[in-house]
Amino acid sequence: MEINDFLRKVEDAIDNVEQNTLTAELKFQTDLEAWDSLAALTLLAMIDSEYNVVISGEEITSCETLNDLFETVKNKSNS
Amino acid sequence: MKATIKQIAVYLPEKILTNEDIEVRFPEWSIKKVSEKTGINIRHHSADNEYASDMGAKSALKLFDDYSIDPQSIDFLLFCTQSPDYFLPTSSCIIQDKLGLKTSCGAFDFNLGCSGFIYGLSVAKGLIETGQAKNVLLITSETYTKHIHSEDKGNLSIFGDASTSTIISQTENESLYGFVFGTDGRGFEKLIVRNGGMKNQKNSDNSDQNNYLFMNGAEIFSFTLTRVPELVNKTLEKSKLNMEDIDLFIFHQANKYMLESLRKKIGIPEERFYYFMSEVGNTVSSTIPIAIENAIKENKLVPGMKTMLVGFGVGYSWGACIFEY
Repeated sequence: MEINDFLRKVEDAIDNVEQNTLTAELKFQTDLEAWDSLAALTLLAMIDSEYNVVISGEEITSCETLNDLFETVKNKSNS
Repeated sequence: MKATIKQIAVYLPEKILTNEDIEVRFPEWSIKKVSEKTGINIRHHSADNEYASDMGAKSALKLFDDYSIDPQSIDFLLFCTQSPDYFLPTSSCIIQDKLGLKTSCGAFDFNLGCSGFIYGLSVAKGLIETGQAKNVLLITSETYTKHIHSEDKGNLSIFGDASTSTIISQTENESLYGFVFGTDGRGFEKLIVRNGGMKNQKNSDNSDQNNYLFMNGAEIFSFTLTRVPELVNKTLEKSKLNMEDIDLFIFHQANKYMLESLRKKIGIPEERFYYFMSEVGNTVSSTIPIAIENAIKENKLVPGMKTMLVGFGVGYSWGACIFEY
């Protein structure tokens, strides 16, 4: 798993986000304009279909940055 | 003697909430974008003076009328709702009277949401196949829209009110089988109306969110991605069927995005997966019978076909079975 690949997939998943605009440090829940409850759902679906990992809503909200989210997914997929 | 679904009738309240109505009320919100994801364009709302037992009686009367069913032939009434008229008495007693069912008829309510129709079918099958009843009337009726805050655009976009009536009767061959159930109360707070029961009384403060329907969409979605695929597999296993044996999958019609994610994850071909939510929304325990009725009307469900019915949601509670039409 690679963070840049993960970021491109997040960009693909969420509506109104351009390719190559997201960074690992982005505090997505506060600083991403396109972030809403629907974005959370599409992110969940993407992570499930791309990484075969089901994460909970709580796990998303407990992440500050996209890198935190990436690490959560990585840890779950290894366990 | 085996049990089968004989007929289904649907009642939808007259008042509707369209995407255009939502756009006028919440111009800053892009309902068009949202409805592309949810697949929902119209939701029906119960009238201010119309409650679950009223709607239940209406769908039952429509059933009697459409199929010339004698109300006296019903010997058991099951009523599924989470919006009962009163704490007590039991709404099904009120409905027994409204419909003029015989007084030797058994009747009780059960409180389940999106999994309710499956549980109702299971109880009806039990009653019939043990010789305790011949014709069971299973009514689902829900008025979730009465629980939704007038500013809660998310839930307003998804839920609609409806009632369905289904007759389950005797037949020769096995028709309803492979029932699988599941419960996980750890999720009870993810879809909840907190106030209004004995524990927390409802108050008149309309800014108190606890008076209204709360749904944590992401958690519900995460729950379904975990539970529903295994539910489908267990139901196939229990009924000794393969994926290819199922002619039509009829899931609880939560919203299109969720169903599409589940369909892809489970690997069900699009042509064997039924959608019906655009004109009704998520009607909780009524979505599966509404979908069956429409699939029959559209000739997508024809006699001889095997369907898998799959319900999941509030509780959390889930259940599935095979229905051979």
